[in-house]
Amino acid sequence: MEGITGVSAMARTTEAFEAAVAPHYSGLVRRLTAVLRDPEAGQDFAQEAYLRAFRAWDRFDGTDSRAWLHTIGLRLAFNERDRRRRWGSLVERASPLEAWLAPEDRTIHEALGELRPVQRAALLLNAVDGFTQAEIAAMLEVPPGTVASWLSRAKAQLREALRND
Amino acid sequence: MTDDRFDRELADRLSAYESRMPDADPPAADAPLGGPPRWPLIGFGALAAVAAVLLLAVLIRGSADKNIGDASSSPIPSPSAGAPSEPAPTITSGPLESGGPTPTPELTPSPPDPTVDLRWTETASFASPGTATTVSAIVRSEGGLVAVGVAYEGPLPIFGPIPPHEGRVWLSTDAVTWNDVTPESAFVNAELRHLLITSDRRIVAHGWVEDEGSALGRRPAAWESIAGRSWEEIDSGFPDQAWPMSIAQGARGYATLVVEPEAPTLAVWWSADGRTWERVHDLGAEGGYWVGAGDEGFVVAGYQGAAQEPVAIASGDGRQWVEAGTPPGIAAGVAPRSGDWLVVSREAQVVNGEPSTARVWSSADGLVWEQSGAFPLGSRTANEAPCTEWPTSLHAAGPWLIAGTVVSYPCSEGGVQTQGAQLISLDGVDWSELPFAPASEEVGLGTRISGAMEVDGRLVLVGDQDRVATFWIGEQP
Repeated sequence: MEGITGVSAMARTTEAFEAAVAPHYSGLVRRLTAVLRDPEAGQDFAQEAYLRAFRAWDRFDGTDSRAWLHTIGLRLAFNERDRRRRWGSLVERASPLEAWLAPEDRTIHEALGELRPVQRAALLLNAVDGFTQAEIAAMLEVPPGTVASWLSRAKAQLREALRND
Repeated sequence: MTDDRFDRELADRLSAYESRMPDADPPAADAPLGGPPRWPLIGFGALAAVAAVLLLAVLIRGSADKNIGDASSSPIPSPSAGAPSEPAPTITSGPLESGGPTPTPELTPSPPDPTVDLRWTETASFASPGTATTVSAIVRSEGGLVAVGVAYEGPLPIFGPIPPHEGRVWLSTDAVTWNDVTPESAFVNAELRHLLITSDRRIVAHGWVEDEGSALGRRPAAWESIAGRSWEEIDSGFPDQAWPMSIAQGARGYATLVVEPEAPTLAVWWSADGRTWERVHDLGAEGGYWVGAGDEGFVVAGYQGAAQEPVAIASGDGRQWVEAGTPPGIAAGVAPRSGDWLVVSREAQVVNGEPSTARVWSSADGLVWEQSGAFPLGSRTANEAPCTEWPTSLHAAGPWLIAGTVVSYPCSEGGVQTQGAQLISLDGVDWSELPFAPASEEVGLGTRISGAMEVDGRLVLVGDQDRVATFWIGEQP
C-alpha cells in the first residue's frame, strides 16, 4: 500500500516539476551554449541542472522556476569549467566547431567571445532577461559591484565591436 | 546612440542570437540521464578512491607491519551547485548496487545534512582466541558490500616469519549484518589486500600468496568473483617480481603503486579495465607514497629519497604524469574530494612526546598545494616512553573524511606500531576524534580504519580493533 502511495506521489511530483521547469529547459540549453560557447557543454550542463533541480524540487520556494533553473545551470557550469581549466594541462578536450552559428550573428558572437564567461552570463541575464544587478549577483554569488563592473565593461566592449556592424 | 537605445538594440540582438542556438528537449524528470555522461568530469559515477602507502625499505626487510598497506573505496559526491536554497543533492548509485566507474544514478531521498557526530554501532567482529584478523579493503558490488582481509593463526610477530594465514571475505547486503563467506581452502597462505570492481563489474581481490618457488618467497595473486561468495584465482596482471601495494579506482581507470623488490624500485602502474596493467611511471628506489583516484584523474603523493623530500605527481589519464611544482608536506594519505584533492601530511621529524600537528593540504589539480587545515597529534606513553602520534591514512567516503594515526615504538622509528587516534571531518579543517578504542599500553593494538564507504547517508567503516576484524556503521542522529 505504501508503495502505491509513494508511486502516486512521485508521479504528481514529476508532473508538477515538469509543468513548472520543463518550459525553461530549451532556454537554459541556449543560454549555457551562449555563455560557454560550446553546444555540447550547454546540453550537458542543462541536463545535469535539470536533474539537480528535480532532486531539489521539494526545496524550491516556488517563486521563479526559470531563474532558479538558470542559477543552478550557470553555477554548475562555472564550477565545473573552473575545475576543468585547472586540469587543463592534464585533460584535453577538443573545442567543438560553431557550425550552428548564423551569418548575421558572427559579429556579436565574436564580440561576446572577447568577454569572460561570467561576463557573458551577466550580460545575457541583464540584457535579455531583465534581471537586476542585485539579482544577478545573487545568482552568480558575486558582489553587486562586481556585476555592475562586468556589465559596464561588457556593454562598452560590445558597443565598440558593433559600431560598424 | 544613447545608452537606452543601445541597450534595447543590444537586447534584441542578443535575444535573436540566443534564439538561433541549438535546442534540446528536456530529459524525463524521473530519469534525466539516459546514458553515461559525455564528460567524465560531470558524471555522477560512483567513484572509488583508494589511498595506500608504500614503505619500500620496510617491505624489502620483510617486516610484518600491517600498516604499510592501506586501501579504501568510496563514492565521491558531485560538486555542489544550485540556488542558495538548494543544498547539494545526495546522489548514490543505489543501495549496494554497483561499484564500477560509471554506474547509473538513482534518485534517493535527501538525507539530513551530514555531521561528524554520528551514532556509532559496532556491527560485527570476527575473532578467534590467539589469532589476529585484519580487514584490508571494502568495495561495493552488485551482491552487496564486500570486504577482504587476512586471518592469522597466531599473533603477528614484530619481526620474523608471519604465522600461517588465510585470506578472508566478508559480505553484507544491508551494510549492518556481516557474514564471513570465505570459501573453504580458497585463500590458504594468501593475504587479500585490495579490492576493485572491473569495468565488466566483476570483483577482483589482489594480494599475494606464500610461494617457496618464488625468488622472494611470495608472489602477487588475484581472485575474481561475481558476487563475493565464489572466487576463482586469475592472472594478477603483474609479474612475480612486482607486488601491487595499493589500488585506486576512479573514473579514468585504475592506478596502483607497485613495489619491485628485486630492482628495487617503486612504480605506478595503470589499467583501463582493472585487468590488464601497464607500467607507466617510475618513482625511484626509495620512498613512501599514497595513490588516489577521482573524477579527473589520479594523484600520487609522498616522499622520496633518504632525505624524505615531499613529492606529488598527478595524471589526467593515468599514463602521463606531471610532477607538482609545489607539493604538499610529507604525505601520509591522499584522497579525492568533490573534484579537489586532499593530503594529510606529517612533519619530517616527529618530536617524541612533544605536541605536534598533522597538516591537511588541498589542491585543485594535484600540482599546486596549499595548507587548508590541521589537527593536533597526541602523545601516548608506552614502555615508559612518551611517543607522538603521526598520521598514516586518509579516506574519503561521501561527505566524510577519515584520518588515522599511529604511534611507533621506539618512538617514530617505525619498528612496532600501535594505533593512535582516528579522526573524522567534513571539510578537512575541523576534526573530531572517533569514539573508538585507542591503543593501550600494549603494542600492536588499538583501532585501525582500513576502509570507508557511504551507504545511503550512513558511514560504514572497516578495520580492526586490537587485531580483530571489526565493522562499524555511523548513522546520522
